[in-house]
Amino acid sequence: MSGDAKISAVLETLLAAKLVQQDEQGVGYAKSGMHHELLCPAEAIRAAATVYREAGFFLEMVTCLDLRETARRMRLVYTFNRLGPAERHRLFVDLAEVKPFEPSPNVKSNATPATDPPALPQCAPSISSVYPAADWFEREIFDMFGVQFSEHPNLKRLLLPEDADFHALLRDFGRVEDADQGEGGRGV
Amino acid sequence: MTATTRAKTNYLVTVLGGLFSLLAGMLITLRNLFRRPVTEQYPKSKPALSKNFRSAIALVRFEETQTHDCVACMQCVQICPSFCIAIEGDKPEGLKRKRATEFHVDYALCSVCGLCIDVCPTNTLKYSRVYDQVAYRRDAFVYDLLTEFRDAEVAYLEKARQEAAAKEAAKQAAAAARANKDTAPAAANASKELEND
Amino acid sequence: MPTRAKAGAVSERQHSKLGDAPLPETYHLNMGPQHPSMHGVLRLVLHLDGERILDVDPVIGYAHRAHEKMAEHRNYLMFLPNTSRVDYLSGMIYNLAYCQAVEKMLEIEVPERAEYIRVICSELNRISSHLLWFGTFLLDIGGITPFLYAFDDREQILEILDRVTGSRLTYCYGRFGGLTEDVDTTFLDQTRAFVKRLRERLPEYHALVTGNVIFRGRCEGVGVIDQHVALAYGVTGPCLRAAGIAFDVRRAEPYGIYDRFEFDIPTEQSGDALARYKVRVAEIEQSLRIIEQAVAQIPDGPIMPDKPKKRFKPAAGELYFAVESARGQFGIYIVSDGSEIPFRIKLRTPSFSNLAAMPAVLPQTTIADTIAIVGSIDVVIPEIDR
Repeated sequence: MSGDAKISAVLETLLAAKLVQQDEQGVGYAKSGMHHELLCPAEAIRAAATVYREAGFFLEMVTCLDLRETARRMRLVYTFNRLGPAERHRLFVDLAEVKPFEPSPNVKSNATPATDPPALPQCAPSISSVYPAADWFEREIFDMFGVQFSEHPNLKRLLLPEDADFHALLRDFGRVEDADQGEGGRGV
Repeated sequence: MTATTRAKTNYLVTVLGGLFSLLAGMLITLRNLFRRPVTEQYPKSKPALSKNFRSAIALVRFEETQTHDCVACMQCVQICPSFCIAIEGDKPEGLKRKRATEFHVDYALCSVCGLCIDVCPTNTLKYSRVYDQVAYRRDAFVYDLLTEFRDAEVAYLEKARQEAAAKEAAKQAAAAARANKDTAPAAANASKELEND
Repeated sequence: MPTRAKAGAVSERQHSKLGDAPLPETYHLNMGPQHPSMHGVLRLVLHLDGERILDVDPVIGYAHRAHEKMAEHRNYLMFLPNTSRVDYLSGMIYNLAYCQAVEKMLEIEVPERAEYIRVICSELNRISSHLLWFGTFLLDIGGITPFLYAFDDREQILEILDRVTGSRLTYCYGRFGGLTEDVDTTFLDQTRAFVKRLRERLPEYHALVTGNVIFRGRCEGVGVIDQHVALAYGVTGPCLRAAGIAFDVRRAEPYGIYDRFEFDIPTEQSGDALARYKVRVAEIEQSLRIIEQAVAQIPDGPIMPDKPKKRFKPAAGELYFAVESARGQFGIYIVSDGSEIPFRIKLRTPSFSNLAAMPAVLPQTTIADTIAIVGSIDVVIPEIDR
């Protein structure tokens, strides 16, 4: 639960429509800087974003966490905030289960490969039709993590070169141990 | 007022306004014409370096030893975000403490964050005050910090060795004295026995 | 949509993103990445009909240095020097923001004196950033003299900060729990003198620039970012306040000791380049007010906790920490997996969102206006590319 933070009107709407649910592992504003910590299924994110848009929130940030090593998932993180006294809503959107990446030979990993996992790329609905701000954020995530966004008007690389064949922020890219084993250099 | 006259008046206002802002600008320029110039004529006049000026790191020369005190603990090597410090250390013959034998800093990589200075346990790191390094090759920025300490280091090690030896000798003497004390009665008895024979 | 037909342009027709009406032949113009008025390495692909812009496609990434990737390979302390290089014009604010974020994570108490010094340095840094913007913006639209005056004043700030921090631009002054160096009375005297000096100079700036007919002609009604666009794109900072929304992180979510100072949040209603100019100049005055109060109230005491943390492992979890940089809301999102090395650090930079709004602002303006508009939103490209 998100501590003793007051349940806001927009959160009530979202909970009533069953678009989001409270994150049981939330630690509250004092520790995480998030007033409300929520979970949202991927297929509901666009509807949830619409509720925030109508309530006058702005999209503060979208980012991605590569949790394949520990949770076999990629996770999108959205934060919405008000342009007034802060009320930050954090939404975790877990994507479909994937194969954990090959651990580096030097790293001990407890993760065992899933039985029949889908490979990358993963896909989530784009919210750029609701928040134009998401356009660049989603392009950056596609660029750095390889996550696809359905119905994105212009999903191409943002920061890396157009002809790059890698996604730089994946945890199995540019590992120091790999570089030390290979051609030398630190790889970062 | 018809549209034409209004347009004419607006035009006049714009022209007068433009003239006024031109004069206002000129006036400021004129005022500044009589102010002291603020340009520093580097390199003819060199400004003083600020007191905390950060540049490539250097080793501190301590008063009492006349040399540095790098013990090659490698803490700065580990904390350096730019991986620009390389140190080798060894225990000098006759000494128990490690000393640095090689200390290289690649200033081309350094970001003068000062983390190495923070972690140094012997406070032997400081910022140098060089600011006008120029070179045609990158490796010219790899500084060997121990060069200026080579002679002092030899003298220091010699002195330290002597001190260590003296200390060791004193320690042995003390141990021997203690041993003598313990064995003295026995020895006396032994000599008595010898006499009796 | 244009009605005038161009000779020879009828054979090849394109459909613009803006509508389905057929257009006369358009052509593409690359503005940047190497262009004297594109700050840093910004490239705008302009789709033009004559001088009129139909569509714009900002291309970024030329200054991408992978700061977020670097964060995954070094411990929390080692990321410190990276922070001020994200936005080199308000490096102090970024550096201290990162320190504050990690302090919040580790629940470190910062000594009072250090808090005050942080506020003074951050506000000085904000002024220096605004002064640089003032100079270069006017340079972009053709006024060379104000640039020299602004840089003279900015130089004073750089010297004050250089004396304490040892750097002029990419400060690494903060440490977890405090600062590297204490300030002395000379610093406080210099700061007071600077506040006085800039107060005397500001009327001169206004006389030189604010009332200038040419300047107003270039800026008034140009590049309007209204509240609707600002909200849709997450625009923050002076660009948002110029649209009439008094949102400032220092007020909305006070960090450090900002809740102890009196200051106003300057706003304008029109949302054009002139409004952004006015907001920034008014912000310089407000920053001077904050500095004045902080210098008057600064207590004696230590600047670092008794036992600064050298090696630590923050508990697994996440943290979002936001500060008001010179360009808007700068957010740091840190995810810890309980080890010495951050699992992920995401930097939410204000220029990223502010520049993303350009495709909504630039169409239907002209190339000459582009210079004024992109200049007036004050983007720092390395901050966008990270």
